[in-house]
Amino acid sequence: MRKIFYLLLFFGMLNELKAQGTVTLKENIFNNNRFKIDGQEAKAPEVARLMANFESSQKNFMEGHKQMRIGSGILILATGVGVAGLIDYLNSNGTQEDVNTYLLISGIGMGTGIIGGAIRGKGKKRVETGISEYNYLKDRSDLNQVSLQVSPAKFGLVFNF
Amino acid sequence: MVFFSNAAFCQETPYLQLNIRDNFLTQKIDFIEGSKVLSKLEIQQLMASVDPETQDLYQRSMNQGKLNSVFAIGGLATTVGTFVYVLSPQQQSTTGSNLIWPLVITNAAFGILSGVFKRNARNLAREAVDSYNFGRSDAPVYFEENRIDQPLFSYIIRF
Repeated sequence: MRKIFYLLLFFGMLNELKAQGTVTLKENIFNNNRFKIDGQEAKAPEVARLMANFESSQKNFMEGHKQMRIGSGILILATGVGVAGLIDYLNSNGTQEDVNTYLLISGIGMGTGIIGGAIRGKGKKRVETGISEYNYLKDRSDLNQVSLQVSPAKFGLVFNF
Repeated sequence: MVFFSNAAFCQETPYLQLNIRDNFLTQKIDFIEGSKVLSKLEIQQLMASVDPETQDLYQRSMNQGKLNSVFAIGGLATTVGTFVYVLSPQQQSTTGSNLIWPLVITNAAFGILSGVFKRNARNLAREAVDSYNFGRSDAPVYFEENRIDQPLFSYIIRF
């Protein structure tokens, strides 16, 4: 009974470690990333779960994805500010004071947009790095080994076959 | 982490990576192998060594990049034109006063088209690199119409 249990445990681990697909990424019409695992569409959390054995890639991927979303939000906010400034100016009388207000608002919008774009670009770079690293390690690294994994999240022996 | 650092330094066949960055006008797609940036000729040789589909993807990516640069230059020209037109005072009273809308619309169109081709170039380059590294990411299609490049069974009579 115990032998069967260990055998099943072993097979389960084997299955989990072998089930690592290739992650590819494609940008859609809004320049947002769409991920695919072995040609099948997948959400970001699924991809992050897939990377569980490669922590540095996983960290890069998750934090990069979060940064991209924050940057996109700031970009949308900046666009809103710019549009609001324009509407405000078009509804005003067009005096010197109104022009000054419009210039101030559009300047704030542009500055926020630059910051948002920079954050988004950085996040995108990190996502790409994470995926590329993961694919490389999964595909080319010598996985047939037993090693000790020491990290805050996980501690213990890792069997890779 | 031990296993991670242990396994990171074994490389048999070339593994391509991409580095995409924005220029002043367009974007630059660098193909990196290990620590060196590949030249155009090297990439073409590598891509041609795998299969024609990978080479085709790479070629399409390059073509889209060329189109993108054409539209980016056009967009810059129309932007400069708009600024010159707006800032020059002598044009205001003459008949050319409704030239501003064509300039603005052309500028917006060039901007949108440039973005589309930029994204296409990036996506195709990624696909080419994935195709080189892992084979096709999608499942192969055998019974597509008019597909003759990879027959399932083939017999050649040589004289």
